[in-house]
Amino acid sequence: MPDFAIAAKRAALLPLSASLLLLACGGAGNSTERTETMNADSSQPSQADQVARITAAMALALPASAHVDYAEYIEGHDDAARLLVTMPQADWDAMKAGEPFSGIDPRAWSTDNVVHLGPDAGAWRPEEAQGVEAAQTQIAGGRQVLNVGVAPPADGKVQVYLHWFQL
Amino acid sequence: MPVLRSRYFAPNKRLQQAANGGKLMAWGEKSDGVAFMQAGLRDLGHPMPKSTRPNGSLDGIFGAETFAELKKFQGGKHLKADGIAGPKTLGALDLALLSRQGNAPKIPAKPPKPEPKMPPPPNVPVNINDLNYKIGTADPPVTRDPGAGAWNSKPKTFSAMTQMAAILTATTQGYTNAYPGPNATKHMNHYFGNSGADYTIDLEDMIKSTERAKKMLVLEFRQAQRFIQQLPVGTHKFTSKFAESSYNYKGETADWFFAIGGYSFWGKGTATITMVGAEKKYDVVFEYNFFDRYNWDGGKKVDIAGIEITDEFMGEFHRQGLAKEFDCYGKVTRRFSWVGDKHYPTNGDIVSGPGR
Repeated sequence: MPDFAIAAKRAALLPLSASLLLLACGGAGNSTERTETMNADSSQPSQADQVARITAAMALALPASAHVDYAEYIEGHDDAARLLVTMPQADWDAMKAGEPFSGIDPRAWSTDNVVHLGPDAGAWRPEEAQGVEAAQTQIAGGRQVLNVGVAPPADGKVQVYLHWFQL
Repeated sequence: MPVLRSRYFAPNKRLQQAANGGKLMAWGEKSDGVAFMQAGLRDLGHPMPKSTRPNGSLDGIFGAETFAELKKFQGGKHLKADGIAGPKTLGALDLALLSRQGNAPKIPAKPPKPEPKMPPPPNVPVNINDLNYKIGTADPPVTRDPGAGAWNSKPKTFSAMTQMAAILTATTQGYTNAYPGPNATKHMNHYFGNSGADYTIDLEDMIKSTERAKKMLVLEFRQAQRFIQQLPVGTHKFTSKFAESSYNYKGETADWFFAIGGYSFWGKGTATITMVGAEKKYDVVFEYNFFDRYNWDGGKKVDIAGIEITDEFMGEFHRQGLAKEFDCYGKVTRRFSWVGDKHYPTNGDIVSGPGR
């Protein structure tokens, strides 16, 4: 199973803790599928682990207020993961002030860099969204890459695209 | 912005343009504006024998002598001595000329004919604080993944040799079914070739067949372009300050997903900038460079010929000396020429490389 994708649709926005609970309590999926896309409200027991796996790979701790809109983990020659979350602006500001985002040159945040976030998949459509500013940073001693994109705030919340992969 | 009022400068449109925030006057320019500026410098005590014709008129060519005398003038006025004439320098020149307001300058009757080539300015400092690019030729650093560990550090086993033979058989017999494409197969076979030699990938094919790779090439060129357009007239070597990275998604290209996955890239090249009339002409040789370490370092798995194969499994071949990890390199070159800052290579030009 070289590809394993989990997608939590934006339509079912849930707090991270609730998402994880649902993910943990969901039914089993089809393990023979090479790519799996699942809803947050009809998920597998392993989905919670997958979301946790993604944040662990990214070395990030999401705030409790974060809603998971889309999650995907890809196993391959190099692994990759994508996580789309919505959170209050203040929580993102706090997250951005910490590692690894604080090391990003402020000039690097650019709508040009939205192409770093990869192709569309489910709710993950950064190039269709308006005004997503993205930047790239390296983690794990330069052996892994973390791209981050942030949509303009709406109703005090921001949607954050997190895209990680191995080199 | 200063209003040029001296009889030297007031009538000239080019000088007025430069004094009002238009294109700066710099090394390589040939215009009647330069001739008026030379005349002003000369009459303010900066001798310009090389730029003065036998009839006493100025040649209008912004070369070494004009550059040097302009810098002296700037230094004397406590201006930034960069040899470039902008609003502050022209304003100061104009004020100085107003204070003496002597005979009208002797200038050429019409703009001088452009000369075919101008040598680059000597040691013109380029001090541009660009985020992505700098002057230089050095490649930015890239990180090599430590991979599966030391090569040939464990004894060979019959089991591993049998498994290797099975994989090679599967990947070399109809890769379109057994393994996802020619490049993935070539890279796998190079691994089992066990030389550890550097491998040059078919980067043109990766760009051609991968939408994300196209976008990365365009992104990198645009970054270089923005830097180049800040450079003065002359010939400049430029290079990325750091490598960026991207990822080949299986949905975009199964072949390159399995052949490479994540990779690093950067740009470098040479830009020759000359003046054509009042606009800069850019002749650019742009190299797009690629690096990746082909390794199996644990934690990953792929499906080869219907068999799930983990990194640990593949890395074992390396540790037993049956296969060897290697560095992948790639480079594509694009050559472009354009004039002015409004017309430049399109995304299609960058991807397809019409000037190759």
